[in-house]
Amino acid sequence: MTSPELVMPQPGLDEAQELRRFWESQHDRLIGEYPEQFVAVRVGEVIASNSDLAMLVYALRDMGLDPRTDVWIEFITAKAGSLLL
Amino acid sequence: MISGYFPGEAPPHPYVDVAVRIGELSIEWVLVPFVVDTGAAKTSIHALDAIRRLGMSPADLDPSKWASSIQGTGVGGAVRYRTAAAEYGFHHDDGRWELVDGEVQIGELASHNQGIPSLLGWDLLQHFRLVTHGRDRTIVLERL
Repeated sequence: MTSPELVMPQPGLDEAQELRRFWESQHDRLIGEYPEQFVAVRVGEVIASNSDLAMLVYALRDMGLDPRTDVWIEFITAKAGSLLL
Repeated sequence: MISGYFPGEAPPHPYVDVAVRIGELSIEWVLVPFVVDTGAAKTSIHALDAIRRLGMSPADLDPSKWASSIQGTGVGGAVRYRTAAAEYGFHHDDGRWELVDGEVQIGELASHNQGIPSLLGWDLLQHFRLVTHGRDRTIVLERL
């Protein structure tokens, strides 16, 4: 069992909140340009997109980028509201 | 008290960020955004979060390479999952981390489930009292 003091996740809570704010602020713009696509953002700019997540990951690798640490990835969709859980 | 949030979607889905550590996969603490899903039997991490948060590759999410898997059926249709022991860290508003041991189901990467969010299911939710307020768009988990 881990001690609670050792929980230091990546991203951190503040960065996760920053990520949320970024995607929410950019959604209206991105949905027009990249509907139903996965997009990778680096320093605020879209550097790759693909409707297939694996293809996006391979493209990022070809650019020498780590999908976990070097970019922010999100699925840009207008259908989130139709997700029935 | 553990506060979740409703992102700017319509209609809203309640999320909570939870830290996850999966020792057998050498995955140290990562923060995963989970949809709170009282209808899901088990907590699952789907492909998008497995790649962007856990650091897994598309090949890691190919069930033909897993020693064992189970089939689940949910919003993403039929999906194969691999099961792993996991530690979960819930962040209280006062700064404390609440740790819960459990399992996680990691979903395969398939064409029909790529955009599905990760789900916080009943295996973990059973340890909490869940309070939602639709008008205020708040959701809170309290440890039982």
